[in-house]
Amino acid sequence: MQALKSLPGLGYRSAEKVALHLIVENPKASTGLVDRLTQATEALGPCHTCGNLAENQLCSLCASDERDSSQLCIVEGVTDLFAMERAGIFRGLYHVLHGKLAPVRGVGPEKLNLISLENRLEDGKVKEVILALGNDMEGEATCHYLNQEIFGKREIQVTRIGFGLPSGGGVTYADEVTLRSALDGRKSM
Amino acid sequence: MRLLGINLENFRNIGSLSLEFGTDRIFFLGANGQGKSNLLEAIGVCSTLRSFRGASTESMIKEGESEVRLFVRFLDDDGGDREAMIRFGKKGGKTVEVDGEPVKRLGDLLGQFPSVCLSSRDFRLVRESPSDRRKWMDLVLSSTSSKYLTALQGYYRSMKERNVLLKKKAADPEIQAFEHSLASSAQVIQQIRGELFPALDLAFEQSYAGLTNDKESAQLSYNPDCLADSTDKWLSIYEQERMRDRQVGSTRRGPHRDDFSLLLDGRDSRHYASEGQQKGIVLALRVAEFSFLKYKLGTMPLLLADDVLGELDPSRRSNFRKMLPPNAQSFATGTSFPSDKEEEIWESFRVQSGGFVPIPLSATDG
Ligand SMILES: [Zn+2]
Repeated sequence: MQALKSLPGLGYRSAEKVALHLIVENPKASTGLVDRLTQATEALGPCHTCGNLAENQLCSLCASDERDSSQLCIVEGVTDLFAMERAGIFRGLYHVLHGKLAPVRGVGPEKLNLISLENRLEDGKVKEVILALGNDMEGEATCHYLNQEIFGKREIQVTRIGFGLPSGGGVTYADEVTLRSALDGRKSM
Repeated sequence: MRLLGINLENFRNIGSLSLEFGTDRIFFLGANGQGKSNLLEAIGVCSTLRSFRGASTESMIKEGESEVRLFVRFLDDDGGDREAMIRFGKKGGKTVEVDGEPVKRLGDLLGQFPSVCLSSRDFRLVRESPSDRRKWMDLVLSSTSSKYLTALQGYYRSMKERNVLLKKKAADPEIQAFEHSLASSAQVIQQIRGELFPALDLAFEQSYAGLTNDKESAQLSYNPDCLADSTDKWLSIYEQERMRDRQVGSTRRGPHRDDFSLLLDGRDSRHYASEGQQKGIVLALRVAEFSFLKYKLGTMPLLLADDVLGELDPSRRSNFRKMLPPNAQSFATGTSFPSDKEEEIWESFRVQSGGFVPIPLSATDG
């Protein structure tokens, strides 16, 4: 129960429901779930380049020749990347930060996926960076930080989407139409 | 706006109560500590989600109980029925519904059911530290401008983040990242204060003049901690102050330090007004709040008077009545009626141990 409760998105009641289902109502499903989770944790890990889920060192996006490597879209989490891909509106590459700056909760730059971001900017192939972070206070602060500390020192065009996105929800919960217009309406920082 | 009825459960010493009101003047009569002020406080909570006594939500929950429930029914100025339901518990978290729809943000409740409360605590607005005056100003402005409330909430959240970074001696770029939202909120806050303060001042000057039969004059004067008229200027203020902010581990300058003075004939009434004049000044400030809310919201606020009407001398009391619209609904409390002649003009309830019993007109005696 405690272990389930610590998962994101599960409160006390839903954790209780899931635990009861797995232990009492349908123990067979429980074994199947454990097997698949074990397989997944063994087979999947973060992509060494972008932080996306990957079966090998590189994720399928980073390994593909079809993507435009001059455009880099910065997102907070893997679910944001999935939402962008589902909408099918972006042909460039991604970089997943795995969070945003939030000093009160103890999240500083050292906890974000920034070292590999700087590494991949070294060869100068990236011409435009699109910041697709939420338009809440932490998202905004993170954009300012990246712009000043990482992109500002290089010859890169930096744009930001997020205008018109539901505030707080971020990219993950936006529909295709909203995401497309947010991307088309991106503005220089 | 008129309050037609209120249901309370577990609010302070009131276990369960359901009252209906049929008039514009309601009086709660009883000895101290019986619960008459608690009822006014509950009405105020339905309007602002805050206690006019400055009490925390937990402290308003009846001892041994876990949840407060408030339900109020109003008649708005166009004759429409409105209702609000508020619940809060020991574990924190508030549930608010307006007209049956859940309300997620404070801004969606503030200003819907405006009220103005006079209480003996009001002297703090003249005598005490700036923080009481700032709280008053922020609540009045937030009730009339959701843009103000949003900026204020953003400002305090950004400042909290910045202060954490200052305390742990974080590098400049990280602190700067949060100064952008701090600066843009500061800009909005001060701009709205600057725009709305003249209207508040005018209302205050008129009400104080009315209260003293034009014999004395008083003004509100806005005293910003520092002035800036653009986000960029705010950014450079926070930049300039950062070194010294680091030493104390907090943000020292900004709109969170703004204040205003209540001037009596041009001089600060904190030092130059008599106690009687100070009482008049806070009363005038409340009347100004009433007119400002009414003007900005287009809704007649409720007037809550906690144990103060009896304290006014007869001429101030009658001037006070004249300044308020005759059809403003008032709820007053006292250990006795404000004057002997008044018992007939009030719809009255006798309050004892958290119970409220209507007093029939014929039964009131001296
Ligand atoms: Zn990748």
